[in-house]
Amino acid sequence: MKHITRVLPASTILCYIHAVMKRLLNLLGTSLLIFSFATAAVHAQDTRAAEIAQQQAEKAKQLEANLPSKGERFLNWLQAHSNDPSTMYTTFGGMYPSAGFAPGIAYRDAFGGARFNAGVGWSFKNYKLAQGSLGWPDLFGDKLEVHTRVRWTDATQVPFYGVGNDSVKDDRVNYGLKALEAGGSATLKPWWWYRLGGGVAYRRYEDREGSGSHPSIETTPLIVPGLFSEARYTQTTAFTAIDCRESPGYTRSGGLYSVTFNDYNDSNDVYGFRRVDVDLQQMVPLLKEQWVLAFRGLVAMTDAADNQIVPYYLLPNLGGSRRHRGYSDFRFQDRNLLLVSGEYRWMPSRIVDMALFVDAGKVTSDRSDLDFNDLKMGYGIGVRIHGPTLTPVRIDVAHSDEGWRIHLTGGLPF
Amino acid sequence: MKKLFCAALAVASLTFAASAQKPRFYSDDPISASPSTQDASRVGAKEVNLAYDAGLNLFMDPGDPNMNRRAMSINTVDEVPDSMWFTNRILGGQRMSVEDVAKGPDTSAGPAAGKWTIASGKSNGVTPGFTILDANEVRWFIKFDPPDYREMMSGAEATVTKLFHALGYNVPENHVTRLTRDMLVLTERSKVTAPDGSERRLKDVDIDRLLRMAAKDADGSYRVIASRAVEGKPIGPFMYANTRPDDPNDTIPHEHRRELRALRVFSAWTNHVDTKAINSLDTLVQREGRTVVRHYLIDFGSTLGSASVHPREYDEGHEYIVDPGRTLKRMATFGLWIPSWHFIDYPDIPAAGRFTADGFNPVEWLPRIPNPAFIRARPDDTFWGARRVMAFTDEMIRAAVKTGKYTDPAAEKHIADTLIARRDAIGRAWLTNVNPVVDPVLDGGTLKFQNAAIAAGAAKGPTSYEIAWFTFDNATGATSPIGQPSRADGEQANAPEGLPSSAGSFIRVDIKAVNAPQPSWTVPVRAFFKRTGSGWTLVGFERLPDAPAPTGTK
Repeated sequence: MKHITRVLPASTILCYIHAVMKRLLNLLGTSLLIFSFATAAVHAQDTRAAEIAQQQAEKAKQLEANLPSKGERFLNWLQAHSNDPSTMYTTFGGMYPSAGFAPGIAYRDAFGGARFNAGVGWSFKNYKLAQGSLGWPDLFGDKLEVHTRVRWTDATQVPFYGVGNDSVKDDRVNYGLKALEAGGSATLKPWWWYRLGGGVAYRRYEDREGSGSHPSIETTPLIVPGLFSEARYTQTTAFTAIDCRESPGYTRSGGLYSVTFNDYNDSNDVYGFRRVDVDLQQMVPLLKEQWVLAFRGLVAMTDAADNQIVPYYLLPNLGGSRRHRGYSDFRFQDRNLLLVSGEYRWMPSRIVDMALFVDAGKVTSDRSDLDFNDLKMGYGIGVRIHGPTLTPVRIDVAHSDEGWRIHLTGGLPF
Repeated sequence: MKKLFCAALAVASLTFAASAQKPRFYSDDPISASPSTQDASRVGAKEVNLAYDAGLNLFMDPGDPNMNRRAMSINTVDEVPDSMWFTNRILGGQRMSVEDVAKGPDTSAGPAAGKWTIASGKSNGVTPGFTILDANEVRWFIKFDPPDYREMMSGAEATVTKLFHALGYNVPENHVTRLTRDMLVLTERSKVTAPDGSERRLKDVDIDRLLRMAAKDADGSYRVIASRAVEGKPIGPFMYANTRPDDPNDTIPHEHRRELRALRVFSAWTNHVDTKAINSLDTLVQREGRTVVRHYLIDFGSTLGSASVHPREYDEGHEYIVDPGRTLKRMATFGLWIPSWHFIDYPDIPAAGRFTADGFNPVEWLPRIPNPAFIRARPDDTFWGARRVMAFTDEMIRAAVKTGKYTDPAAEKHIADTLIARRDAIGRAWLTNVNPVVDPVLDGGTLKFQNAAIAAGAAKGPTSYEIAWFTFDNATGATSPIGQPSRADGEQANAPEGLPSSAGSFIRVDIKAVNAPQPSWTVPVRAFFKRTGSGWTLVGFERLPDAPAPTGTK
């Protein structure tokens, strides 16, 4: 107790004393109020009805407006703001992996069935983002989605560790990357569990020296495919997915089985390539969802056209809060990627989930090497605060042969 | 709070001396109705923020810190008089028939046939719906069943409405009925309120979107629950703690209203886990030439096995949505500590949702969010509630369930059987944990009473009671024994010699069980009789005295 008293700040102690006094006052006040209403001027009455009438007459003299408290007013404002389709709002994150804490401001609006969104962000690592989108999310009775977007990113210190599964942590260098994307996509949703769609986009990338505490990329002796290039693409995309999860933001059952084809067509025939992503997820609830076994298998494969190369900054990468939690963002990069994850999730309460997880993955230059040999392993434990359809807070603590990593983020890992 | 304290202190100081002179019983005791004497026309409308209400009850413990205060809305014979909150029905002066229970609050057969004009889209709650004016211009709120669980929400709403009406609450008139898309008419006045509170004109596409969220039958029609707008001008929900500061007739803290404390019993019975403020409604109505506030319970879509848009979650009824102790236990054990509710099986009857009597322990039943009135319910409150639940016959329950219009006979039977089994569990739990002596009558020289627990088959024995007689001074509260306590075999005893004979005199009779199966039965109930003419009239009854205890926690 002595120790506690010493370390507690005076303000905390005063708050505690205030809280205790408030509670005592509350108890005494309530007791007196009840007592007073029960006894107020009753000596003049000789019936119970008259006594009740007297109590009500007494209260009639003390009426106060029934107004929301400050806390309730704040929540009213917050909810109205959150649900307002036409408002300015703040954003956090969603900029680029490795950007760090990235606050931003955005504006959204709704015009009939159309949704407009535009915003900017600036991270503590000097990453910058400007983006705008215009979409029609539920055309033809929610059977069709159409989205258009423009996005400009300037990343200043993206990590690069070399290409391949044997890259070394200490070889890290940083690079800068400017990316511009403008395009549109359409998604057919004939059934709630099935999606089929495609899109076209113009993309331009320009890499440069990196900043930050690590050496810049031009100093590395490692092979860096496409270093200091300016790549311009016409990207075409086609995808199909069976998605029977309860919600993308939170689910205890169902699964996602998706395949995405991308063709990055470089008009200069230097950096053109194709990429296929296969993402398979399955949630298996056990004993009335007391536990959920969650599995994911992710494969990304690139295939460069003749004599063309896949720039290092567009190589599939392993590491980070959604792509192998035992390693940092972009820790492993190569033309092909395999990631398998398993989670044992349990539900301590309706709004808190926990998970023990294992991530294992590898990157390879050759597709035939995508097997379960030489996988990079990581494991850990996580806590997730969630609602019925969203997971606003996720804290995952992971360990790998490169030590411990803590991921404080939102959304499920898969 | 300071203002409240000072006001209370001043009033209490001024009246303390006078209070010593207050008689225990007035000439009109026990009252059968509690009047609302003040004009409440200046009461303002106020909505309650759902998140605020939940947070307040989960983390702040609102209401009187004294967790053991006797209910304050009761009359001198331990009963709740009729009021703008409650009307004695199932145990009222005129006992209800099976038909009365099935009829409930209904004054019509539902929305009038013909075109229904949509007044507005539904902007709150989780269930899709809208407000209509029927062919007779009567306003109704329409809600739909979820597609995968047809009849679940609407059946629960209709059934539980009937039960809660019979229990004594003000409830809306709810009907299971049908609509087709072509019945719905939009006008220029049809509005929808956006989440941010702004209004815009309702369009056909909005209606179509709502209907896509609803269960559609093969013939293209929709089964709906139609809830008639209640009498009066809505002014928002009531809170389950404290009083409405602008309502002069609202003098009793809500957490000390027995009808709200005992709602815990009724909610456990019907699995009404959603007893939060926004599922209540106050309205301004005219009574005896003045405006007063009438208090309703509304929205029974999350009852029985229904959680409105999906079946009840497995933990509902067993845990609060935030339960730090159990949460930490499960966190620390990697989820290997498994509560017993995980092992409860539910029959595969979609219209019934998840509703069963297996594993039902009324005492351990919990709503989603702590309810200040439930937390303060004492054994005399839950006993009062249990008597009302036990007053429902099997036939009454089956008649109420029938109004849910379940097309699956298995669903109707399962829900009725479950309600019957849960009723009996409530009797066993709450009729037995306090001295269950009821209805004392002193007729001539014979005292007669009942044992509610034994009469309901909820307990066995005892067969003997100890009865002590006292004179009672109504002005001072002083008592004096009349002879020695006597022993009675069965629920009847002879009065001793020497009872006062003058009109207006009072006696007190203490009755406790001997060799009772429950220790609580040995705590005597106190009955107070007043000499009126040649007979004795019960004017007071006290099952448990007001025994303010140190502050507790939920």
